[in-house]
Amino acid sequence: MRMTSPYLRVALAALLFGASVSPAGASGLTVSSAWVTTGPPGVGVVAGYLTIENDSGDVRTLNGVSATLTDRIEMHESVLDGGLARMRRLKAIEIPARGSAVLAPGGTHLMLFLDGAPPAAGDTVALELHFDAGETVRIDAVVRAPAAHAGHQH
Amino acid sequence: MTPKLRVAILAGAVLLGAAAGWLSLGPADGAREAAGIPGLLWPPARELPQFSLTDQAGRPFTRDGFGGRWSLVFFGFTHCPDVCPTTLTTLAQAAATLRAEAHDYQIVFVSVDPQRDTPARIADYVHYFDPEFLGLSGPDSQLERLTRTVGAVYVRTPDANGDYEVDHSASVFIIDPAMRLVGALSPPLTAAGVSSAIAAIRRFVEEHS
Repeated sequence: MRMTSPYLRVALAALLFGASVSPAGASGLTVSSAWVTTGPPGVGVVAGYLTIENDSGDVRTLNGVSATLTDRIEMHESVLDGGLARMRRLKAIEIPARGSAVLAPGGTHLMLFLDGAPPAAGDTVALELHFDAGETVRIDAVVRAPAAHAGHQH
Repeated sequence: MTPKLRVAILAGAVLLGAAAGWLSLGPADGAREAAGIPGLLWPPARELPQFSLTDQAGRPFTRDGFGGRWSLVFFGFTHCPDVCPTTLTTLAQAAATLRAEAHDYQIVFVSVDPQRDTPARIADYVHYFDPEFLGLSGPDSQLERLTRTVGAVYVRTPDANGDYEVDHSASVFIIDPAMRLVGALSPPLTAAGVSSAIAAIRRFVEEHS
């Protein structure tokens, strides 16, 4: 299926993932499909994933993410380097003009450092995404169990 | 010894060496290549060495813990938000498929971060994914006996916050009931891909052992 309307795409994503969608502001940034993993009791870190669409003609930059759940959220990228899984910390994530950034398992993700118990499945975690030019986008991330690897085995 | 005899002995030694080389390749090596099974590493047999680790209940776990069953081994650490939970979820799904065929599978998570990952912490961690998963760790000297033999790698790297990250092999290693490394599956891993690859490797090893 080829979908040309970003609104249709986002609406479908919201339907599929039950996630909230931040309305596209005047700036053209839309955040959707946000979810945070739950995990074993005592786990010190969980991951966050989401999709950012940029319908503007300018490259946009995500400089950081905050939440009331924890005061430490980092942006990371899992990279496979000769069979070695490495985590690389990102200072920023660029969203290309009229493009998107997809944070998904096995790739770019948010790393939420926890002090207490992990959030429970079904809860929501309110995230604030801080973009360049002082723009902040809020979105409620649904808490779910970690997902298996998607895609095809080669 | 005459020079002629010396040459003859030398030639004999070279021939023996060549024969040994051919034997070690063996007919089964050709069979492995012909089978074209992804991830299959056997033959040659790479036997696990003796080692002494601790399981999630605080009990010793040695080489014998791999005997008599098929094991899927993944190296990681619990302060790993992305790759480890994703892989363990994938393995839990693959294990459910594999166990429908045979009950002699064990999934073994080996923490390469013994400083932070106590047995209790590892127990909470692995049992979240599957109540039957095993979780091991131990000192580097013992971990390395296992990682070196199977060809896994891990590196601890300090981060900006005074913590450290652990880079680790992302592959799933397959140990057969004779405690030999017989396969390694590299990412991307899917549950269906893992279960079918392991079933194929198992079939091959059982037919050719």
